Amino acid sequence: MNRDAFDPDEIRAALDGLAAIDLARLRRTGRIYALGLACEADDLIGEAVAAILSGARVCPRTMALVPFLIGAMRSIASAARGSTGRVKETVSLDATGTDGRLLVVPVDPDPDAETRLLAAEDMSERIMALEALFADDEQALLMLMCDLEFYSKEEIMTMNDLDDKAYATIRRRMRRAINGRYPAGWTA
Amino acid sequence: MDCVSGDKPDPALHRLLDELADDLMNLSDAELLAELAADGLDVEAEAAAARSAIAGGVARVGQARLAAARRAVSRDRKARVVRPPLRADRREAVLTRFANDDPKLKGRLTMAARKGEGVSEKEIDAILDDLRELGAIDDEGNPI
Repeated sequence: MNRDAFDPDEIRAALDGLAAIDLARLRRTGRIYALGLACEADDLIGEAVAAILSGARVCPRTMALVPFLIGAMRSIASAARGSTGRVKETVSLDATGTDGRLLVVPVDPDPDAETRLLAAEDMSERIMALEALFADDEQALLMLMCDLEFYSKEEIMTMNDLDDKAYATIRRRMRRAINGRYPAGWTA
Repeated sequence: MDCVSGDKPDPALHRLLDELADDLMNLSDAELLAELAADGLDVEAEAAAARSAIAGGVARVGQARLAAARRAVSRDRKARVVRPPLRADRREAVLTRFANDDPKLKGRLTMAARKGEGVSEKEIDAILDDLRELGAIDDEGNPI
């Protein structure tokens, strides 16, 4: 047993002990990561919990559960984005060892060419929708374009003459706009 | 931007989403409560929905473990089943009857007879075990 990581019983107890505000934060972040996916925040939460309890993702004792779950949702969403857009089970729980012990088998994430083409078209539509959402907010639109060009935070701040506070303010405005436009996640 | 030819999932929105998630994580509880209220969301309802999603994930793992345990028990039971051999005087009759309906089996028996080898006892046991496993015959060798 890995003593540096939480075991499943501890994880279950920690999940039971989450406060309402922690759970609300988890769901709100799930909605962010569900953006661009054909799934909802709750699907990401369920899949993240399954990945942790099955042992596919190990939560170190040095890490708080909520950030760890959010990191798991991020990875799951990242794997789903660019494939079918659906949250697939990132691990298969169908296999067992000769002793009947549950085996965690990573699911092959590589999509075929047609799936990738459809995903690319879908992503393009979603980006256009975000551009439309920020059409009246020049700073937010610029920041979105910088994101899509993979500029770093520092580069974005320099290009747009922003300090940390102004940068954070625009980011928050963008998030509030997205949360407001897609309260239950992405709906085309 | 070419989202199609890359080997990795399209990262177009990753950066934006990470930044937005970071912003959410940096909110104090009070700020988050105020934001939820401003959006007309009830924190308790949000929490209840998240609990339900968590329960779904817990259940999925539980079901997988149960299914794994069932498969292990089934495997164990199968391994422990010791069937008594068919009576010697029944073995050939059962084999011949099924060989008439199974060209492959018939061919195997004919070939063995031509070579004067016959079919080994071990092979006969394996064929009869297969027939019993498939539910074609009972432990006495009677057709089911």
